[in-house]
Amino acid sequence: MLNPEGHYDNRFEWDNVYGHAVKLLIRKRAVGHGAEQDGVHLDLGCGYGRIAEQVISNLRMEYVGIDGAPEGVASLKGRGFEAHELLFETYEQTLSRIDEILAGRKIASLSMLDTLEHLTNGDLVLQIIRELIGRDNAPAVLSVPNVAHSDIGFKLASGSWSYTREGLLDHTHVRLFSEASLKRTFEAAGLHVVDQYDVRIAKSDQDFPLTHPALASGTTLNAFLTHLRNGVDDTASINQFVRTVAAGPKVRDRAYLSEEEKGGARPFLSVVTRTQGKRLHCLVEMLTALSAQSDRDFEVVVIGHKVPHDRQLKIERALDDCPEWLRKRIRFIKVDEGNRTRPLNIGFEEARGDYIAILDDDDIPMAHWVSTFRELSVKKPGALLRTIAARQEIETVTVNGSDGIRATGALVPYASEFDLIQHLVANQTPPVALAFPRGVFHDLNMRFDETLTTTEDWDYLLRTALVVGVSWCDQVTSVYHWWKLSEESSRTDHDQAEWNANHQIINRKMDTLPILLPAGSARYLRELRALANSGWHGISDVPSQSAYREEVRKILSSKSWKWSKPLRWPAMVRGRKDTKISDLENMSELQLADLLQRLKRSSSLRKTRFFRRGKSKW
Amino acid sequence: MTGANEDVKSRPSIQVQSVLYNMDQFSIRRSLEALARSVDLAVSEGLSSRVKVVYGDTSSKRCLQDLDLQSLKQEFSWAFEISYVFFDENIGSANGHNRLATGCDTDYLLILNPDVVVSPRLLHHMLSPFADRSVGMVEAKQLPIEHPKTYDPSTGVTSWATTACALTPTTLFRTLEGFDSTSFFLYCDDVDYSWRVREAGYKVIFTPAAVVFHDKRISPKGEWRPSSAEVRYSAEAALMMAHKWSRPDIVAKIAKMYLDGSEEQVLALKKFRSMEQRGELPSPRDSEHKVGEFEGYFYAKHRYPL
Repeated sequence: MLNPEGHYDNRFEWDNVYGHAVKLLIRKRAVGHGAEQDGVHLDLGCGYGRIAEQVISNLRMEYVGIDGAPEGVASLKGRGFEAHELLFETYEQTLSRIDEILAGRKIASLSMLDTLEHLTNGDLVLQIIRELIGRDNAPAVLSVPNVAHSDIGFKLASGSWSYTREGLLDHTHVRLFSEASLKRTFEAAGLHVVDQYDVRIAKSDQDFPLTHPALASGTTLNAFLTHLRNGVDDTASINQFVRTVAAGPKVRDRAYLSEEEKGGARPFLSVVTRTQGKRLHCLVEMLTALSAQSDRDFEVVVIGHKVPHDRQLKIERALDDCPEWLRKRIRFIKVDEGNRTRPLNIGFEEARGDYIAILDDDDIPMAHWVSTFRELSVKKPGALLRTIAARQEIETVTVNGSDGIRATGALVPYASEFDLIQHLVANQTPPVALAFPRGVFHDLNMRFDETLTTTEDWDYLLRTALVVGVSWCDQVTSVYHWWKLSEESSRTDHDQAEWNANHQIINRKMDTLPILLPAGSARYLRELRALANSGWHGISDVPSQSAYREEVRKILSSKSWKWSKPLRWPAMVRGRKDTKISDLENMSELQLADLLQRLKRSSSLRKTRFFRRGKSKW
Repeated sequence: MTGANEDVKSRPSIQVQSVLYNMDQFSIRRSLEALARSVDLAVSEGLSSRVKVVYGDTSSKRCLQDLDLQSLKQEFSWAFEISYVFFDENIGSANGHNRLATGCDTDYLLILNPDVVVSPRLLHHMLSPFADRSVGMVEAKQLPIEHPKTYDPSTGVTSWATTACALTPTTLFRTLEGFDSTSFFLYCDDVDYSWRVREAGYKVIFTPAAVVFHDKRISPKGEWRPSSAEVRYSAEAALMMAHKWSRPDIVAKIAKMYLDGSEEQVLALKKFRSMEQRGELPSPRDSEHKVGEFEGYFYAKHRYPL
């Protein structure tokens, strides 16, 4: 390779890219061929060819190095190896020159280490490699640096990009690769990864400056980014991808993303429905409600979980019964493994929509279920979307031989205001009221926790909301059915101890996570702290909102508060207003608790304490 | 050939009729798409011979222009024929349905709100109870808000049926002279018809497996919020029902409540009194209270509050 600032002459080490490449070649030989190999090892972009000695001693085959710079070629020749100077210019010229060099010798294996990223015609060179190794099914070991290393990514997220003389961001790099883009580039050339032994360096040559908040390992920001990054894939600490490829068909037209792949047409919403086919009358109700949506920009992924063949046929019949426009939007997928969480991961994986909602076969969406999600997505793009579900108890009745659902209780909406902190304590949102942004699952790789046997949706809600925030409204858009305890459901399938155990697991999980809170949370936490400090109640004796209101009302209507008003005049002149009893109606629990604290601390009230002597309280 | 014709004749025909009032086209089309699938399944499985759809428009301006109508007729011609009448005045739902049923040549009438979306097997579930000759009216279950009135959980027998989606034999409808459009403009015409069905010795059946979606919504507190017109006409209907079904005690109770009630209730009482003075109220029936069920202000026991 050509670098005007100097030459790349690194020592062979078993734990650097050279050692890893040779190990991959040894591994391939152990699997593929006998001890003695017929043919040569061709090292393209060989530089100083520091693997040559190991190739000879470990693989017992001829070594042939090729590079565009004379220094490395001279070094190899000086060490007694065959080496040639060649610039990769055109397909024909390069191939014919290599054929001349080979002079009829077979290629037993090939390598091109840390070279592809320097080539402006890298795709062409990969095609040449494809041609060379395809002749005799030889393996090729290729390596490139990882531009998605967390040291690069974290700094870039805060606007920093630093080329260096060499290393991950060598100033002569002209192509940059992540794992996915490398795979894509290979596939466009007809090369397929068959083995890998990547070089991992957690603290790379890009780990500077020392106290960069995104990089320094002791910062909250680094903890948060690291948690997210490590969840996406396991390449954050890979310095160089070292991969063995084999020749195969070209499975892609191009190495880069097409316009369609960038952000092609997706439905707004993917609806993921879990069903066991045990209550088809529920599924029919749910599908009928879907067929009444005012916004039809959605698809439905129905996951039949552990359904025997006869039930599968009945489910498919029910799906096929739908009106044509809806039928075209439905896909049925069978899942025979895992607990009730597995179908969610499969369904989310299959989902093509920008947002993904869970609509179980016993849920009922109202006509504005999809359209309300869309309105929320416009308000805060990419956030978790939350509406209100109304809970209703139901049972199955069989009237004249046909099963149907019968409501046995009134519609009881869940909390209208979405309170993230309250959700850390207990769930107030059934899954039917949520739509998850696609990116959480598909870009951050956040999956449902399949170790949980219940409350998997609560766990996922929290992990999502604590990263992307929540866009919510006070519209009731669905009915969440709650089976009477006489019927089989998740309420009866799992005992209370199991629900409690899962709750504890989620609590512990949340306690270990670095989290993001939305604007406004500081005030909320301050008020919570004030409430905790009030000492007005014990942990197990938390008063209700109306109890706070009553306590504050007593103070505000007391004679001592009224008579002490002159003491507050100076503050009122400065603009502070006395709270009126009529204000209390619209105050939240925390605001009331905070006000109660302030009133109890107020000097005017303390100075008029003698008026209250002998009275029960105020 | 004769045998095949006889076979077709034995399968019931159905007229689906809807009264339009300022209904948007999306809702009409959505309803037709679902109905077409239900008809498709019922006809192909030999449950029904043919279905026709008739609309009566009570809006001040037509909900469907000729071109729209033409396009709908064409689009759904494979499933049913569609006809449309523009009444050019708001004659109310009871009167509208009576006029649409005039000259009807089918075995059954399906009274359907024009924005209701039916489930695919609706016709199957609604026709099957008529195997019992004593059944005179069958009602579908509405989603997302189920009506809380009580019904027998094994026979489906109930006090009355809502006509958001209800099926009744055409001959019975004619015998009973349809809905009482003189007494009821918008509400309770279905309760009154149901009770006359029962008075004639037939059963009214609620069928939870026959589901339809009727776009209703609730407040964040779980309350159903009726419009001003709904309050007004249901207030009128409440007085009329109590009078017609021989419950003067309830008329008096409601009248007393309306005196100090909302504006709509005061207007409803005024209209009732004026009809009373002019002798226009219907003659009371069911003097022994064998049919009419007044449970508080409801016409059946409710399983839970709505």
